[in-house]
Amino acid sequence: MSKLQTAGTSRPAAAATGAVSLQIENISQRFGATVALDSVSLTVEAGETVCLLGHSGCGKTTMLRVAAGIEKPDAGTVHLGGRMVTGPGVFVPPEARGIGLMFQDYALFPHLTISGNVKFGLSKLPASQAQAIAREALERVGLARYGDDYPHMLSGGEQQRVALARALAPGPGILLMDEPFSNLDQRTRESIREETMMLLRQSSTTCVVVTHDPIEAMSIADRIVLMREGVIVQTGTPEEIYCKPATLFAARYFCDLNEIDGEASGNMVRTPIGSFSPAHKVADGPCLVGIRPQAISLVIAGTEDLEGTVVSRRFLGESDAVNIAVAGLDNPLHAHLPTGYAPAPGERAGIRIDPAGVLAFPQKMTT
Amino acid sequence: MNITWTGAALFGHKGERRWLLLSALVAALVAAPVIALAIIAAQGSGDLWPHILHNVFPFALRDTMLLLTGVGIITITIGAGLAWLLTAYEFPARRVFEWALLLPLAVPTYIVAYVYLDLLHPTGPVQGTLRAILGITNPRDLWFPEVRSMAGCIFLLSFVLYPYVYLSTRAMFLMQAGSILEVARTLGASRRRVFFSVALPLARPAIAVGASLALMEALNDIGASEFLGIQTMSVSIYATWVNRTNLPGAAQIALAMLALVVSLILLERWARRRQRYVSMAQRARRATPLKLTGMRAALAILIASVPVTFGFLMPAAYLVVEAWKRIHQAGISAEVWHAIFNTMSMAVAATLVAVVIGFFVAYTARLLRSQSSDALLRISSLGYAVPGTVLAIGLLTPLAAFDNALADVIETLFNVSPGLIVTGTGAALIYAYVVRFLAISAGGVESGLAKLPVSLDYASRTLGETAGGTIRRVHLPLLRPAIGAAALLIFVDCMKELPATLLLRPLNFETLATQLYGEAARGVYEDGSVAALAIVLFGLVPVIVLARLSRRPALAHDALAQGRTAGIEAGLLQGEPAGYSPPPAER
Repeated sequence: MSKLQTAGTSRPAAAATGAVSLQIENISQRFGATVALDSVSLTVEAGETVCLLGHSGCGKTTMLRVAAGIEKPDAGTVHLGGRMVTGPGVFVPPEARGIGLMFQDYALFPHLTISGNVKFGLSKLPASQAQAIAREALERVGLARYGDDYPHMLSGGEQQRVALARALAPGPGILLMDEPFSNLDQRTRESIREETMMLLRQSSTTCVVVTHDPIEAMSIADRIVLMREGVIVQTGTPEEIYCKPATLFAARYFCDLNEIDGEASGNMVRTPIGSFSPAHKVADGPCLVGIRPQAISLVIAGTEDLEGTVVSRRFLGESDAVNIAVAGLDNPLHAHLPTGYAPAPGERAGIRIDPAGVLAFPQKMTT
Repeated sequence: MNITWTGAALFGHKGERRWLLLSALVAALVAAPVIALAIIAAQGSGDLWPHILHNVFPFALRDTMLLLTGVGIITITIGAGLAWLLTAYEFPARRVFEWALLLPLAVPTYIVAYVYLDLLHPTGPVQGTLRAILGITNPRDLWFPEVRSMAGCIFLLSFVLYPYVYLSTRAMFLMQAGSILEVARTLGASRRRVFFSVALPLARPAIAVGASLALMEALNDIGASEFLGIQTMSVSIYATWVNRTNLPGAAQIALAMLALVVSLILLERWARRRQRYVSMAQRARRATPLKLTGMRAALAILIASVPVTFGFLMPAAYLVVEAWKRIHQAGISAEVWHAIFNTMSMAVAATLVAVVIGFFVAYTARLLRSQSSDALLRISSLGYAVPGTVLAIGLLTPLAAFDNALADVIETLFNVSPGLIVTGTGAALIYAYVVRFLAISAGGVESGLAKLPVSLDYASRTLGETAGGTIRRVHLPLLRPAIGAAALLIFVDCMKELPATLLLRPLNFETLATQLYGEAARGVYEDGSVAALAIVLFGLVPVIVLARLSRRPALAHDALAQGRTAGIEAGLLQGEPAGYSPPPAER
């Protein structure tokens, strides 16, 4: 190992070290012909929870690996708590970075007990102290009584919590999580996600979570970083990124839009089903108009903006998914309406469209 | 999202280069004999070459090809046939046959020949009993097929080599989706047609793997062919060197034999070019077997008994009886004790070295995940495909040169003559064993590592453990079974090894195998049965392990094939290593 690396091995001891910030600057990484990251920069403040969101292959996991020191990028720098850990001539190996990393498959050591797993990162401490910390960590996730069991004896949710306890036991300044909830089934996912985030908030750890699920990202992140093909598309709070998507891609990622061709002029866009004042302005000329399904509501006859015929209606429990054919559009509009209000298929429906749910984008962005 | 992480980052460039350099050194040591062979062969054998070209080579090639063809046909017929019998049908004692059919693996080819030569000798027990039944007194009046013949050699080798085909094919039949076979039935195909038009074509890759392993063994054999009077290439190489002391001539035949090995490997790869497609059906449920009763069940039992009887029960029973007689009469001689000690010490030393180096090479390939580290792993596993005689001829010259140089240096420095340090001490033998069986440990560790998600490595590293600590605390404990199995296989293979041992052992150094060979070649049957029994008993240990694993077919196939096919795959460098995912790409 090089001098630089050994110089960094003075890893902070187990006790909580306090949250650290993460700064990633101009990171580029290619794998053969594919560009995984194209000069990406991102700052995560100490104590902040940031979600890297995007489809498979967008570079979000590569970014996490670069931060963890598992991947050495082709170019760029990484600072953790102000200390350069990746950069020209500098590469601190993962064991000396003081980070926690959680994997989608949890990566529990199958040959070690639960408590052995949690103690793994505490090997530099005296045995009794390590034991105490591991116990406390397991207590925090409610699994203290499983200490002598082996990973395969636990359910998926329990394994996830062991992985969390193990990652947090050495008191990392930052916790990196790669799709930590995606191996859980739908029912337990939400409750475990909430528990996990609560724990993390208590320990005030900086947290970077990779996910492809927009709902998950919105429910846990202070800030969402939306990525696509190795670049950051948009960064913002969940509300900002949802309500003011910078691109059609961002809008589509969070919402299943009704997309209609339109023509923008001034503050208005003209479409075959009427003119709207979109949530944000777009340059004059041909444009693409997106209408959120929940922006469409039923109104009593006479007050409607638009009239259509219900084509199909599906009961989804909390809402009805309704398709409404409207004159001038090739495809029916789909809408999410409160349960029990939509007319039966074949009947006429008067609808109104909330301008706050209408987005407009320049035509050339439609890729 | 399963991601193949690159390990390079974890080592930094210096560490990475060091691992790679050491791997390259291992690969160079493995490749050295083959390169040396080419150089020796190029020197020409002078006056003797026309003789070899006209009187040795054509016959050696013809006999070898005949032998391989015969063994190929018979092992495939027996192996694939039995595999189908035991998976598609249910009959009494089927579960016993499942493992019993593996037993002949414990009997090396030279021992089966040794045994049957005596058993079928005109004055031996078989013909004697026949004459007694028929009332013939003169041995010449009884016609009996000559065992010292090509046909005899083919049958004897096939009876101990078919388990390779049986094991791989059976694993494939069990892994084939039962639904595929059942759907064929619902489409109106008879069981017979299902076998020939669905199961067999789908199993072709497995048959190819098994058959190529069997043929490698046949090619490697020296004892059986020699005893039975078949002038195969292995035998010719040995004779050309030992009797005519013509090293270039031996090297030339050896090179030709190497070409044969390469074509065998190419054939095997060609035959399983669709394996990817076949292995789609992995989490398969076995098709419901047809229950046989009455005569049909009896027939099934009879069919399954034949290979076990000829391949294992008869030879084992013969050896037990003969060895007991011998021990009863003369006790266990000092020569046998010596041979046991020699065999054990060589095998233990070679196993240790092979396991350590194999672990190292496979681990480097996992860490670096680069094309060069993978290629080095392939080269390091090449030795398995190189027949023992070929390897020995390739090693003789470089080792002797090394010895002389070393002796010169020591003599100049210390003014004492150290003798032959490598070739005189058995170090050469250990070297040859390691080269030959490195594929087993490297392949075993490689497939063991492939089953460990790389996220474990990174979990360990981010929890503050170093690279070395991760090996010690995570990988070694998890790989213990894989390493243990590899060590066992290597140990037993070293014990049984004959061709390279014959050529590379120090003077007057006998192992169990060479002692047996010596007696059989001289036509005396003294301690040979004791030595042979010892070899077979040791050989049973891995077979028992394999038999236990074979209840879980995929595992048994892994254990047998991965170490060995790794060696075969190694022959073609462009091949992807077994169990590897393609290079890193985020999915």
